[in-house]
Amino acid sequence: MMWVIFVAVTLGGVLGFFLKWRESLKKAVSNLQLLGLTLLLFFMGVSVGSNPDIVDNLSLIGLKSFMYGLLSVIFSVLAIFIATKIFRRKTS
Amino acid sequence: MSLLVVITVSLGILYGVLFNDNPIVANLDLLIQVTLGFLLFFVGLDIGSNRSVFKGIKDKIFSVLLVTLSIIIGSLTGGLLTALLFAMRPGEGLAIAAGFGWYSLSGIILTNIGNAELGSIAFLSNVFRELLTFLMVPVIAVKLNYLSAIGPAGATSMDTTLPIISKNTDPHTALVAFVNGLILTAVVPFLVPLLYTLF
Repeated sequence: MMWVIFVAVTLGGVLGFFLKWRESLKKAVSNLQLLGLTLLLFFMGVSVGSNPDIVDNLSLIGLKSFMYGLLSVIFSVLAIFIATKIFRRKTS
Repeated sequence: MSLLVVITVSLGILYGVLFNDNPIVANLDLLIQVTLGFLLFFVGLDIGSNRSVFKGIKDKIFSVLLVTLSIIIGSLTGGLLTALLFAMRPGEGLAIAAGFGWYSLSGIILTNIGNAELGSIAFLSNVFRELLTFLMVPVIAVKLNYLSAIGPAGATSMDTTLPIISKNTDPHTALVAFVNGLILTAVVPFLVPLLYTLF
């Protein structure tokens, strides 16, 4: 169901680019985002809670998640640091 | 905002544990699908509305590209290594790391196209990423350099972690951080499903 994701973002992006952005419209969009996000997070919680495999393995899932977060951060910082050293003149 | 996220997810989990047999659980996939399309449309609108920023960015474009590409390469490296560490499929690790700290969206996408366990890891790992960002940005800005301080933030450098970057660096870095976050935010909805499917 990937196409739903692509179509929705692209459609919104193109429309957002050409729309006249009044303060009231910005506020409405931000509120609708918050509503969608809240609903989704709730549903995501339900899909976790109703799945005994996850509830029973929460500590392993926590460990995996922490490692993903930590290694992504370390390598991101390292990559930028090395790149800024290589292209020192262009980024200063 | 972060508090709202924690409370909402917790309520959902509690609901799932307590009421295992009801219409919401039975139609969960469809519900997530529809709401996801709805949310992403508005996320797209938001991204598109930032066109004025692109005018002031011309002379900083090199820094932005350098930072954004480094974060993509670095995060995916981290994701791949973690996948190897826990004997997971490479595509799963890459997709989790491609959330770039945007926990709500990457978690939901991977719950949708993968499974609930994968979605939970994507969600939690990106929450950890954001927490680590708050801890590390001040240290990195001093010990390494300003641009490196954008690294931990990933896609969140346009909103939740922008204040801490801006506080610990300079206006030039803050603008680079904002545009970096904008680009990564636009990339996440495409990159997460693609990496999951391709590898």
